[in-house]
Amino acid sequence: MDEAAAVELARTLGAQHAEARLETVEENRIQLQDGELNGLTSGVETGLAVRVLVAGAWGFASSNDVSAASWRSSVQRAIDLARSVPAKDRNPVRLADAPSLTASVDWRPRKDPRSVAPEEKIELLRRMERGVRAVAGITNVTTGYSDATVTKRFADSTGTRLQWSLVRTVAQGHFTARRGGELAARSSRVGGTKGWELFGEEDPVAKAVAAAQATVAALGAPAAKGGKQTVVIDPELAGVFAHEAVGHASEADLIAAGESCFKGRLGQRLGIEGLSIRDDSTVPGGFGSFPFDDNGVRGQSKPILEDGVLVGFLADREHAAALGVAPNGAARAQDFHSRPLVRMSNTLIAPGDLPDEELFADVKQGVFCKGSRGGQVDCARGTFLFNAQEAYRIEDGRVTTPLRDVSLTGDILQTLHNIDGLGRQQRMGDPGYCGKGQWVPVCDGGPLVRIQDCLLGGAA
Amino acid sequence: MTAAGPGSAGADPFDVDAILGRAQRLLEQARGRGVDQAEVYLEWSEGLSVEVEKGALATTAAGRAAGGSVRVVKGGRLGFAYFTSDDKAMAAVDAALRNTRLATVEGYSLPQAGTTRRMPGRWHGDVASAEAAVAVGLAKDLLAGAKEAEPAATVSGGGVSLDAGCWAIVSTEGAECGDRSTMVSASAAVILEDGERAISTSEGRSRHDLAIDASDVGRIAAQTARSLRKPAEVPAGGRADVIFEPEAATELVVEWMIGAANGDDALRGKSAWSGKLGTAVAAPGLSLVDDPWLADAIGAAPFDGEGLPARTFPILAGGELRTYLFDSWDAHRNSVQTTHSAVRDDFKSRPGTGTQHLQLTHANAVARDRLLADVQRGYLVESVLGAHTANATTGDFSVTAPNVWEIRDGAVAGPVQEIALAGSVPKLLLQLDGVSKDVKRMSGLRMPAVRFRDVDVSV
Repeated sequence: MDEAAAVELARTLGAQHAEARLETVEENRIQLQDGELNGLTSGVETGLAVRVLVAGAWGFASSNDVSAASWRSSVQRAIDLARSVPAKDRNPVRLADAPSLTASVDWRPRKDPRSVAPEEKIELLRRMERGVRAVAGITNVTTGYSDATVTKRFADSTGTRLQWSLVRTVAQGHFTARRGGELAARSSRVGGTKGWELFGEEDPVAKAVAAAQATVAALGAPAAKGGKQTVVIDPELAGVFAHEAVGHASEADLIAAGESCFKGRLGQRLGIEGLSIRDDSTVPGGFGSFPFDDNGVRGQSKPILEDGVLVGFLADREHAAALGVAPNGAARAQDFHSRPLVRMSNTLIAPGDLPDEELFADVKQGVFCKGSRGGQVDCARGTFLFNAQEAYRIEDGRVTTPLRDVSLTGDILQTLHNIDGLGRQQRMGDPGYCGKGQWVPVCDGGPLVRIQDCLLGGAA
Repeated sequence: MTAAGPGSAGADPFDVDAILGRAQRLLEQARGRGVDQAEVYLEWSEGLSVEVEKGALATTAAGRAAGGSVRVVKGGRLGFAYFTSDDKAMAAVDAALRNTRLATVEGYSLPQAGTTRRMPGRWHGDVASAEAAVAVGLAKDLLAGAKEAEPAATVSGGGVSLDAGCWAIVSTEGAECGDRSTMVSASAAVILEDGERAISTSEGRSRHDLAIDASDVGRIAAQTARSLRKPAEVPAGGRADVIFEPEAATELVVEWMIGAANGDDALRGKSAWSGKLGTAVAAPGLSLVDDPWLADAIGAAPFDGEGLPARTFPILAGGELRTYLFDSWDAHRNSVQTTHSAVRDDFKSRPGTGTQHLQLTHANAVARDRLLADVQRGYLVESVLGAHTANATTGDFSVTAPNVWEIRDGAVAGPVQEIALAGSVPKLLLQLDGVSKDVKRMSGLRMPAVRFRDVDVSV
């Protein structure tokens, strides 16, 4: 039995809509800690997922047993679960139409990491460690490598039959510096939906060394002064802002549930002219890229803000129907154990027209923030927070002394209006993982961005 | 939920003796493949859940997974690999053996087994065999509780889940442990319109049995949302006393403490608690104990992730750092003894160092009202945004508290708009001056409300 037969069985058993996924992930993970091999893991897992709609109710079943008996019992289980919720206790689900697709896509890497010997992977991490150890003041180095080869097959009752595969590869490091009783720590990461060729395009050693130097520079740095200040954020942090503050708020499931401050604002101006943000799962090599989503809809570029105006949402088939928009390939499941949710992929702020130096020139006193240590958003309230890996004072238009890591926080709608400058150079930030009950790989980026009256967390 | 386990048609997948027998058979096969030592870990899990969206029941889901892993030692070198069915287990043993050739740490030995004892109260067959109607009923209770407490509130997310798991660890060094447990969880994310904005709150609870009060979970989330309506502006930042409710204190403070007490990090000098063993790292009177044997310790197990008997020991006692945490691997690399602190995320990961069931206490814990009564001007923080962005090494943090009330003259004066909090967790621990006697029981820990003096607040 396969995914197509499972869909047919579900239809026979009464499903108005059915979809089935078969996923295989083959992974390799290595960690070095202060020169010692601290872990080397290889493994393969295959699993199935069946989701059915019966009389407007969802039922979902998954298993990592992919035998024919397991397929059959999973289909029956999903049907039974959908029927277990009385109609009066649920909101009936409708699905927006999506074109039926038949395709097989292989995003084959130029160099398959599975063909690279583990010794070579370990040597890459050793080169990172040697580079970082050459930075005086660094006391501890942890480096990690991973590759995951993902193969998916998808079928649904509209007749869609898809198969795709891709490879994600990552090298990362975490560095600690100590001087007397002072500690500082920072991380760096290089990754993409690419194979081993990634490391010929972006040097993880150089990136790690730069991060290590910043770690040492932060030793003994004072805390930033809390309160509202003019802030310039680097492309990586600009991407995190786009992800946390704008991307999440534009997720159709949150809007339909009344959990987003973007609800009812489609077509409204939310920011300055020139401020454009999109989520794009077709970025070549982007860590969040994929050819098809887990609704069987083609991955695509999805405009969210265009010249400051809210023009679109990220939607799966279910919530597209609820909002009366078209599904745009935003349904993603962490793995076969998980049902698809509305998720981002690669979220990008478009470049503006200001030379970088001009963004700083007008700032008498402010803070320049670089790199991301993650963020979080309360979309319902419209509040976001993200944390910088590095921060520096801006004094009379010049970037001067380091500050201890700071957070930027604020009201999403107000902050969008407070953006008053966009640099000319757009760059992708580090790859990462977005959590929304499930973890999915994402990336983001943008130009240098200047924000007025941004609330910094810091010393009183 | 019960279904046949892998390779055992019709058998009860939660039969501990059966899973131990399978593990022993695989161990015997592994012995014949040239290993010096070997350990086999097997698990079987099933879950059933009902999600809640937009004030109604949504997706009903079920999942099951089986898998295992092997750790082998050859010439004092450790290798690891995992598998998803018994017929692939020996291929995993061979892969783990190959990995030993790349290992750089020598002289490792799997831990010698100890005597484990039963930990009652963690397995409830009615959870494992529950039909979907049971979960649906609990989810409806959750919605009703919220609606009754605040009719204008909408439960926008959360739901109910019923999980059951069974696992076994056997090794050539005498480990022979099998166990099973169930877990019932209810959570509610609530939205309440408040003028142009919305208030969002959440509440969650877990138990090993079906006696969970899902209605109370919905009720608390809705009541909290109602109490946050029409927040006043905070006129200015500055230093203020802050009381963290248990969830906020867990996210911001306890999660960091677990990392700081990691023995490998500490002995390598990469923890803010490096070199602090036997010294005061927190306010006098504060204790943090890993106690899996507490009655109703949710999420605890009678043995650790390497099959060693679960132990009760202090991490902090009277504000003094007493113990660093080690599993056998970290212990070997640092030439110390394991504290039986191995934990496993799932069968695809090696065991690592962690905690089983923490309890934070204070010698002079007071009733929650007293905790408030001693604050002239300060804030009561229900949740923090961005706790995970705190610097795990240094403990520097800069977070937002979206759900917060002002405390004036020893009582809650009313909700205020969000504030930003910044500081350093290790310094904050020295500024702690009170904890509540009432605790919240969560999976993996038991936590009071905690009061800190002179916290940096920005607005």
